[in-house]
Amino acid sequence: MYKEDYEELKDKGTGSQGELTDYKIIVFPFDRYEIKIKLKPNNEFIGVIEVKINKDFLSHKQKITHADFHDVEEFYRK
Amino acid sequence: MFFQEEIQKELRFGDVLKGYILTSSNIVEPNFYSDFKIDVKLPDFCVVLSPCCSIGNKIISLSPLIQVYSGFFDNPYLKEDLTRINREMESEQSVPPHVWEGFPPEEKERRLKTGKTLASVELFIYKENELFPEYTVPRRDEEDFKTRYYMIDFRNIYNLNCEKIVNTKDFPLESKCLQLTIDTRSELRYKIANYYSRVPKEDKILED
Repeated sequence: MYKEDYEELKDKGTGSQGELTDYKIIVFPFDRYEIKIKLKPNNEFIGVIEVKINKDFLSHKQKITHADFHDVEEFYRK
Repeated sequence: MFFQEEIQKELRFGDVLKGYILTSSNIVEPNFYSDFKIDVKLPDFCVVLSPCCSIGNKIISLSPLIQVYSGFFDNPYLKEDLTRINREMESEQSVPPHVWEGFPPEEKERRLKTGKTLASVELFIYKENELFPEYTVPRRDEEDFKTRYYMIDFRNIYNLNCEKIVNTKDFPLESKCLQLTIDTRSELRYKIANYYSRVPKEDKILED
């Protein structure tokens, strides 16, 4: 098979049509889910790529228990 | 923007007020018969620290606006915008460069592990405003300069009973000077919430 024919066959392969190279993907948090959507450069909606559960399962209590702060008072208070 | 361009006719958390006295009680030891002293002052400005939903019933929580620590100006990251102390920052940004360089490696590592978080969790800085009186910041290695930055210290909150503070809409409007934007009010809420929600190490161990 000639190289040109191979390229043509590859381009016409299943799922390759309509594949835009100029797009952006953003993650949109929605309730307990994170929705990954594809947009054109002008922000026109193309489609939903993925929906997954937000894995930030920490409760407020767990978050504050793990919270730590920069201990800097001694360097500023004179 | 730090302050709202047009202030509302409502009393809100973080508002800057004038005309409210500050009282502080002083004792040497907790004994009814020992001497005590009550100081009464009139600060230029104070800040509302009652949450918006709890303002009213003739009582309010306030904290006076006080001058900032001159040491903050030793840190170039903060000197550029002192209100950065109100938001989370990296460990290296939280201290002046010469202090960071002076830390032994293990101390640097300990601080780096903390990650991006709040510094000076007791303090919240108010941006310069022409209403605030200018004051001199004493400097060692450069000429003294003037600033209008002020701050509140969450360790210095007091309650005041005022007959005219009935609810958020019925209060002495003429005493309200400045109002925070929604974003800045969120920052203040976040910082004071963190100030109160710190869990001491010994309690963390018991909870685990």
